[in-house]
Amino acid sequence: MLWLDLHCPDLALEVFAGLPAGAAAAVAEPDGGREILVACNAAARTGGLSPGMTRSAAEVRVPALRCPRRDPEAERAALERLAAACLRFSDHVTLEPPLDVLLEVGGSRRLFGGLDPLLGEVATLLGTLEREACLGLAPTPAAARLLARAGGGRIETMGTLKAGLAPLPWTALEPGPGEAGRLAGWGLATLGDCFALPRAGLVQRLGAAFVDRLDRLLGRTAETLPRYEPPGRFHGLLPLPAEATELELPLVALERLAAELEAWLRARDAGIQRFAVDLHPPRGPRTSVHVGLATPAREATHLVRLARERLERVALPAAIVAVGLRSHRPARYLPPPADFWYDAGAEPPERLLERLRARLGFEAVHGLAMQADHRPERAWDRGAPGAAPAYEPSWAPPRPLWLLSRPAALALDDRGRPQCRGTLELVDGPERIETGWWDGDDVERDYFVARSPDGMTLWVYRERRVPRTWYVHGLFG
Amino acid sequence: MSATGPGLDPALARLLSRGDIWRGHGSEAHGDGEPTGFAALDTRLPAGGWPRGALTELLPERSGIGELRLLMPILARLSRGARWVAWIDPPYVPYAAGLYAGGVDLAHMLVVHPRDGRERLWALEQALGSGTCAAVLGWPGRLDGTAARRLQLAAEQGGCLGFLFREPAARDTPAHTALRLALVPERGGLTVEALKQRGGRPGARLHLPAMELFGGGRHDPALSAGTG
Repeated sequence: MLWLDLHCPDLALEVFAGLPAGAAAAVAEPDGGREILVACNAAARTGGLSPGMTRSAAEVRVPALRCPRRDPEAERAALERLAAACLRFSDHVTLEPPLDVLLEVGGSRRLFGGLDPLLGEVATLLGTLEREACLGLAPTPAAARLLARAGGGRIETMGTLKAGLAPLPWTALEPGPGEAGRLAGWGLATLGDCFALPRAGLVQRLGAAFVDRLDRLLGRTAETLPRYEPPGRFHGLLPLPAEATELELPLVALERLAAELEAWLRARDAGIQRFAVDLHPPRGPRTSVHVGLATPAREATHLVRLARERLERVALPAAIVAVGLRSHRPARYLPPPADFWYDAGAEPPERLLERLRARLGFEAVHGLAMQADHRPERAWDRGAPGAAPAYEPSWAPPRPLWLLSRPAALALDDRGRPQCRGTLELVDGPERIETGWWDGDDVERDYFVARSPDGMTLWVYRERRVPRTWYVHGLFG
Repeated sequence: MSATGPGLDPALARLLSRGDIWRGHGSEAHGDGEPTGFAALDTRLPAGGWPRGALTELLPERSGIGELRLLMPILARLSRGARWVAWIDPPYVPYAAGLYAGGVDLAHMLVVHPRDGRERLWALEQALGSGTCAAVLGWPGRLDGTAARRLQLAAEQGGCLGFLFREPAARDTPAHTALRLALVPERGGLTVEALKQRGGRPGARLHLPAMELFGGGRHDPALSAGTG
């Protein structure tokens, strides 16, 4: 067994999407009557701030400090989403709130071609999700956890475990105040010093619980860890660092959520065909837009682009304090077919279709298909773009390229010939179309190809029923 | 300037007018165009065909005089490839039966109906720039220089043949496109006049007789015989 612990020290900050990277930011938590900083970004630390400081003191030092209130629910949800995304590396992932995710990678390292490629993938995932994490790798979960919390470390085998942990200070065990007092009083400095003491004496003086912790560290006591079971649907919610009245900040949050959704979908080798974006006002009901896709997709940039087209067209709440992203049931994902015609990075055609539909509406974009009907107006239909034809006639009579959506009646000249920009010359025909008696919409027409004096080639017909009106039905264009 | 000089062996001439043959001398005949399907037209176009990754403006005297016929060979060919053909705001219903008779594979057609001018330009830009359309046919209506340049850029980016159908009055506006052709019906066929061509001189005229214009396609004899 080999365990990897991801420790996210800045999670409290990271759940607030859209905090400007260069400006000082911190997250505060109420503690009695005051508010205490629990996390600071690099700019805030440069300004002399550190966790544990009161908010009022911090704001004296850095007046421009952005300091939202800690959101434990968002942190928990963010950690769960990280755990869900990690399921692509291992089928044994454990959620360790508040800041850790632990996974067994001994079984899957070969799948990734070794430990280093696997860790590289983990780093890529963290980068995509914009998460900072310290990585601890060790043969026991407790040691992996301890290494990660100590800032990161890597011990690959049981044989080197004890020696590898020995130089670390025992404070890494995070002992209680009583235990710490004794360890300090005995003049101990490192974990190695603790390992060297006689076990019976340690149990007597520090209690079985402390010794048990050392045992777990070295694998003398096995730990059973619950497997994280991901929810069947993705639901992410990110609070915004400040109330937003425009889309800019919510879109930053949405990009972050979409990256998480993509990782979540990749972990289960799936895509989605429907998702919803929620804009939460400070109070009252949320505004949601629902986005549908032609084929299951999971590329974050595409999902954001689709959602953006929709969001730009809805009435935004007066103020937005949080953004949510909810997936429908995941669907089977088929990667776009490889085709020499496309660049490697070119998007599949369905993406264009979805973008157009997201902005113009579903009905505004369609394909073309033939129908098995002799009535010209019913011989075609709006097909699904990209769909294989359901019907293909074996013989195609000459037909115009343009059809008028409704035939237009033609006037006659004094000799009874049809007129359109002058008297028409009939150059081909008649082609008799007489059909449709079964559905009551029957037609009896003689079609001709006609030429107008000014050079248009028209498709005209004469009703065979009185009053034998002439109509123009199409243009040869 | 013709891509194929006089007296050349026809097979050699055909080879030289192919899009993937680059000729060192005579920079006008750089020939990276898509063959139009009309040999006489190909030899008169500086690119040796429809300019690829660029916009072509077609200015028919009126709609319905054969301007779409001019594109049937290229549409029939491109529609059988992997990429799509988008129709942005066509003035009438592109008739599936007519396109099918002309040899077009309908599975790759995408018809888009924007509601206003802004949406129209947006949809054009999306389709041209996406890389997923082999050809885009657009009826842009009014088009200022900025919009035309944006569309031209999108066509370059998407590596797509863009055809913009415009009013005859547009002939007097500055062209930001690779090619601008005026189309006039004449003797049942179509006279094509190059108003602007990148890499070539304007003013060239060519008559495409009806036989040629209405020929081709899946089963053509009746129509071409009747209208010829």
